[in-house]
Amino acid sequence: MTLLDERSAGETPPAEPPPHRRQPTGILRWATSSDHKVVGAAYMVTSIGFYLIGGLMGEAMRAQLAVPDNKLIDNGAYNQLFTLHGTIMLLFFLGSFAFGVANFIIPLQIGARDMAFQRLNQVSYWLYLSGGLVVLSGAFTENGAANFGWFAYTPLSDGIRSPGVGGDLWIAGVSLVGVSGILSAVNFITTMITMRAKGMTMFRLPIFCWNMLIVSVLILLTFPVLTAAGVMLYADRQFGGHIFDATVINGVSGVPVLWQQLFWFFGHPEVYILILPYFGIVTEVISAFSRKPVFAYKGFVFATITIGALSVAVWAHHMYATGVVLLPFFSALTMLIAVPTGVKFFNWCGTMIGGRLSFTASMHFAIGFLLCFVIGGVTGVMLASPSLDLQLTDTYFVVAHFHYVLFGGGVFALFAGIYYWYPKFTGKKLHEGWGKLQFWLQFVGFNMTFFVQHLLGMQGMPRRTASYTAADGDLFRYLNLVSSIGALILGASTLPFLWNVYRTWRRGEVVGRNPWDAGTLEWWAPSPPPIGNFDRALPPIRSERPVWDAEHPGHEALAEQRHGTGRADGVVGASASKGGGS
Amino acid sequence: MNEQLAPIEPATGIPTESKVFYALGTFAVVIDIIYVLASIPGGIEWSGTVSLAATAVFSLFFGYFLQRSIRRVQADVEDVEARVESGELAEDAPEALYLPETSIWPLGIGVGAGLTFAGLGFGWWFALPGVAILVHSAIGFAHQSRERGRD
Ligand code: HEM
Ligand SMILES: [Cu+2]
Repeated sequence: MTLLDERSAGETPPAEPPPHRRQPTGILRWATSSDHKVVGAAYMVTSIGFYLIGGLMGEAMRAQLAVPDNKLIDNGAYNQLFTLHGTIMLLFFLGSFAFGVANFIIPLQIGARDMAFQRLNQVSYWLYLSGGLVVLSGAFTENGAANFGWFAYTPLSDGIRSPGVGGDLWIAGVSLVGVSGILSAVNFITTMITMRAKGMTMFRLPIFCWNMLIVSVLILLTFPVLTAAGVMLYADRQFGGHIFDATVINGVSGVPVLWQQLFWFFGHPEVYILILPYFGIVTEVISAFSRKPVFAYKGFVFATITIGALSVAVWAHHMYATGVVLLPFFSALTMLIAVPTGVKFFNWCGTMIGGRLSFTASMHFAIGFLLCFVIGGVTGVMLASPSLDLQLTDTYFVVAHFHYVLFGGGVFALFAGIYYWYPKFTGKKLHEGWGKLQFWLQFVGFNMTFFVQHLLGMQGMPRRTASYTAADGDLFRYLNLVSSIGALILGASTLPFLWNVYRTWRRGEVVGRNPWDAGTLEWWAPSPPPIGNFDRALPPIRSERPVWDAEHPGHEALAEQRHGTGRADGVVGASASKGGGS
Repeated sequence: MNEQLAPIEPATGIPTESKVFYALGTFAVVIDIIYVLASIPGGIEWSGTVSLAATAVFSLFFGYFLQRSIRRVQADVEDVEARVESGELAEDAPEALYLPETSIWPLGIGVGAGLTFAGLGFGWWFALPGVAILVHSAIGFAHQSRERGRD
């Protein structure tokens, strides 16, 4: 609960707050406060909890696969493990952590005092937590938790092939988290379009905000499809519906593959919903530690919008092997996504080139992100080609690919964000040395675990198998062993992090408002920000780095930025005359 | 420093916020047409066609909605904010923008919805108390809003 403790605020301790600003402390605060920072911290702490649970499940699976013919975990348990692991990591951890950061940081970055709908925000959080617990509660039922994989394909997930309460609880919990996501998305959009401070035009929004905006739009477009599909699946399981059922009754039948269409219409945008916030985080980190504004800012924004648009039109690249989808259409559109994604790499590299780089722990993670994500991107383009995918689908090559994207992209960027914003969250800086140790363990462990899985996949090892035999050969054996040892190192990398958080809570270095000399508005507020966020007038906002402009008057970047994004001729959005603190 | 800064001028034209949605909607229209044309030989695939159409309708509608209303809303928000800052309006006045208040009802809604949904698996003995808590909390939530006059 370190994140939630009441702390004195930065350099200028505020006077005794007026009665309506007084807040309960401790557990009661977590349970009742509608302050966006408390909700954000609650999201972050909770999703790290889910990460630890999901990570232990991953470790358990790797332990089972370490040696051939292992009897540690039986087939049924293994099925539940990968289903829960995938569901937790995607829906209760990576996405939710991004919501936590967004809740905490967006109002600060746009110069607002809170979110637009504060109590609705609390509702989102509680729905998220209860949804996660509902799914997990399946593990304590007679038949165990859901075991049909995180995409719950029919007919496997129907009432006959997956009987038991676990599957129903999975549908129920995922729907709850879906509703929570929709509420959050509405809240983020409303906040960003109506509550920006004076001078904060759309094209001066920090990239993290832009990315969260597109993410929110994607959520509104796709989560309802998932909920609808979930209701249909539940009807099939419980009320004898035949929507996804191929049995012919009176000459007509349902269509099992319809589930795949609907699920992936949600599922593919979902992976962008998961990764775009982390693109945003990395952009903020790289810009801050290069002491430069984001290179080709507008290009970055357009690339994000393009990715968002393309992502709703590529869903069936997960379904090449079904033989019922338009291969050229989906293959071409999928490969097109590589273009805006490549643009972002130019943005990141361009931001670093010529900058005054400081290699903090946060920057280590950001660079680790660049290296790992590029591998995931390349294997993604490979899988976009049907001729390769038909060979590689449902093998460990795919497992390697999505871990490079989700872990190498998502989790590395996540820790970059934690080390970057921790001073803002708590007023104390995490220890750099422990951070770098964590980075190196994580980087080595991660690549060891997942790189060899590309090779395993090409050798034909299928995903979602609980075991292999000695007859599969020495290559299988050694590669799997390497992968499992890597997983151990990867798991161990969590320990320096947890220790770092504990140690910082006890005796961390207390820092001021802007310890990194960064440029966006959250660094104008005290660390941690008091209720209401800003204790002094905002600086004039004429670029996407108002704090930098204010703290470095006459710096040449000022002219450069004014030219790039700070034009006042009205092209840049609606809020040029908005009220704020300045 | 201020004199080198360009002044803030009132915004004109289509708001950027709308343009984002127009761009997404237009893209979905174009792609949906291509998708339908490409799938005609093998038979139209309805789930994708309809989902893309819904994406287009939603995006274009929302873009238009923003174009109609966003400037007015932003001006209202700005006005209230300015009045709070000048001290004309108390920070905790009902029409003020910002009032962090504590509330137990969201937790109640979460617990209630959680039990209700768990009831989908465990049966009515979970759902029943769940619905009761949910309804009670929703009413409490609404009352709190009414007392404050907004949210
Ligand atoms: C602690 C590090 C991790 C380890 C050791 C690990 C290990 C594994 C293993 C062994 C599988 C099962 C492969 C199979 O049998 O097909 C798996 C599946 C999966 N993992 Fe991880 N993983 C880790 C972290 C993550 C993270 C951070 C994410 C996402 C944010 C993630 C997402 C997934 C997904 C989506 C699946 C597929 C589940 C399914 O087949 O339904 N994993 N992981
Ligand atoms: Cu995809």
